[in-house]
Amino acid sequence: MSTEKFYNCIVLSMVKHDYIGLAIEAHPRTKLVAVADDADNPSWVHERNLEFAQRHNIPYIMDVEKAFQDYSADFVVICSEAERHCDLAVRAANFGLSIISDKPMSNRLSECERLFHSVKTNKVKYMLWNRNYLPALLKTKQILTDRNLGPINSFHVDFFFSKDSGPPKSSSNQSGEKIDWLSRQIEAHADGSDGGVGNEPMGELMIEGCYPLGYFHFITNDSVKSVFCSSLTHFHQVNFDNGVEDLAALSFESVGGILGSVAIGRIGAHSHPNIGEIRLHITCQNGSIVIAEPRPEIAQFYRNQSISDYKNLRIENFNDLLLVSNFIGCIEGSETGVLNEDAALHISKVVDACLQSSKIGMQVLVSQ
Amino acid sequence: MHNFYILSSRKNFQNISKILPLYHPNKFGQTYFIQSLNSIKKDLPNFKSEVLFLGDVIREPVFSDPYLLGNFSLIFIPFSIYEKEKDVLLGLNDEIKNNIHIYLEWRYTCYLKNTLDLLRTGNFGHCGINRLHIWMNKSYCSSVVSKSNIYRLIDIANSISISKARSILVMKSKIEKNFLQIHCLHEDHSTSLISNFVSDSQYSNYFSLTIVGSDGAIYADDHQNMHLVSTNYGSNFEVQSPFNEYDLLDVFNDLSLFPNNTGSRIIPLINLPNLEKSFLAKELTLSPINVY
Repeated sequence: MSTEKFYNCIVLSMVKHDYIGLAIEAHPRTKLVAVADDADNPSWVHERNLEFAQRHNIPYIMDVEKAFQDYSADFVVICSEAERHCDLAVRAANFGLSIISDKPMSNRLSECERLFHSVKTNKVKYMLWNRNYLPALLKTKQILTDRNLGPINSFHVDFFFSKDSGPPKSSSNQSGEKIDWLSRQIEAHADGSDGGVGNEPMGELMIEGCYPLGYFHFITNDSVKSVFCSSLTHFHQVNFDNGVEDLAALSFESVGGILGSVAIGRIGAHSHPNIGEIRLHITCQNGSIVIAEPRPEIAQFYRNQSISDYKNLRIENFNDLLLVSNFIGCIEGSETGVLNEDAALHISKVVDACLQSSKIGMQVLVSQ
Repeated sequence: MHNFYILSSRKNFQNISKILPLYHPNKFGQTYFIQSLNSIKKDLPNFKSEVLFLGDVIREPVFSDPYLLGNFSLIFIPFSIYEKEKDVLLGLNDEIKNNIHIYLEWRYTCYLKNTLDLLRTGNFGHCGINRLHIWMNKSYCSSVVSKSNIYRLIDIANSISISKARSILVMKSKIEKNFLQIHCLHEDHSTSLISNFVSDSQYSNYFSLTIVGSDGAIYADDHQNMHLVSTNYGSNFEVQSPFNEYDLLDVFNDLSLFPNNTGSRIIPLINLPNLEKSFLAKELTLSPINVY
């Protein structure tokens, strides 16, 4: 009989895509015990929390601290609106609970720093959910080690998601009314493209930037020293109306001297046959590699296939399982977090510097 | 009708002397492939040519006799030698009355030519990001960190976005002397991200171009043009890269229009004195990191 400990998890708000909750549910050593949230949230938040709780046959508690008291949990998963991520996380940390949070760490750097200090003070573990254990990323690490490619000279990531985000940007807005950010995100829940859910609008750098920047950190173990960024609203009316970018280009230099770049955008379903163009270009002292992040995959095409159907299916993908295992390893002291509070805070600083750079048109140093 | 001298070591440039008259019987006269400028005097003393097309391996002695070159009304220079010979060329240009033209050869590679043709359809909307990786063996470019090479890269970026660069960040690597990264903001608010790398390895040639427009995207990429080769010793992928192959018929289609070349086709031919201002909205100076 196994003597391995099981870890109980409280879900703190589940208002957007549910993949982290599903990963916890699926892992053999973790268990969902409750969903909890603050009572003063709007009704759509409670509806989604309740729906998730009912689907997983666990209670929904409209009092976060009461849930902490009543349910013996080891950690929390936070999938709330971005502006509430850090507050919920700090309350959990203060109760001695470790944290897995959906991205971004927060939409405010000051909140990220508050959470960082809370995690350190309370000696709990933190993970920003990520994609670093996708098979292509693990393969990249393996190639760099096994093939003796030598030190990395340059590191480039394309991170173009092809999902749409409401009506395309139009110079002739017939109604003249601005699209409300939160309403659009609530609507986007149906197709899982509601990563930016919240009252405060966020651009692609903030919503998705942690992924390519997480790849850089994961592969190189280096950090970004300075950035030069350009961004624009190129595709979607909701981004235009709310003044947040949906396309950005970032050039950076790392502390270790690596030059790199990230091109990121929500380019629209018409611009790619699959989920998007996501690739890594890496040059090293003794060679170079080009990695397609979604591979390995298999393709499916059939008569009357739905437009929304994924044509290419990722295979050999154990990202969720490996992330949760890594988190357990961190709690048990046997592993280092794949994207812990140190890396998450640094990424938040890089994104903040990018937004500043794109405003002033100058290079910006990233505080270390 | 133009008679041509073609001075080049490149085999496909030699072949052009054979096929050119077939495609343009009424535009080109005789075309001679020559190994050196001395051949003009020694081997072809009676051949009267208006045009000298200089190929890829031009050395300094070529410019030692400006009066010889001064007999021609047009000289095409491969752009890659511009840096080294700039002063000589500028002096020569005065001698032969501004008839030196820079030929922007990379625009004629199969990837770029077809990409530019696709962009002209208007199907892809307004350009947002041009993402370009050009990694080369040294036989194609001795050093990436030169003004001439940066011009060449920015020319590609400009031709894709169809607007000049208004702001450029040039980043030189501190750990790899032959790596260059360019972040280029265009007047139409699009961005070009370019990585350019030269290596000793014969396997280092790689090209990748992604253009994200407001209504669509183009992916022209060696990564998607690979063949699997399996032998008793294992399997590997071989890239069939069309990047370093020029469509010479297109090149000479343009030449056939000279000197009355008008419209869009005139773009790859740039008068030397106008070169720098043709590329950039602002003057470019190369230093480790520049932001304009």
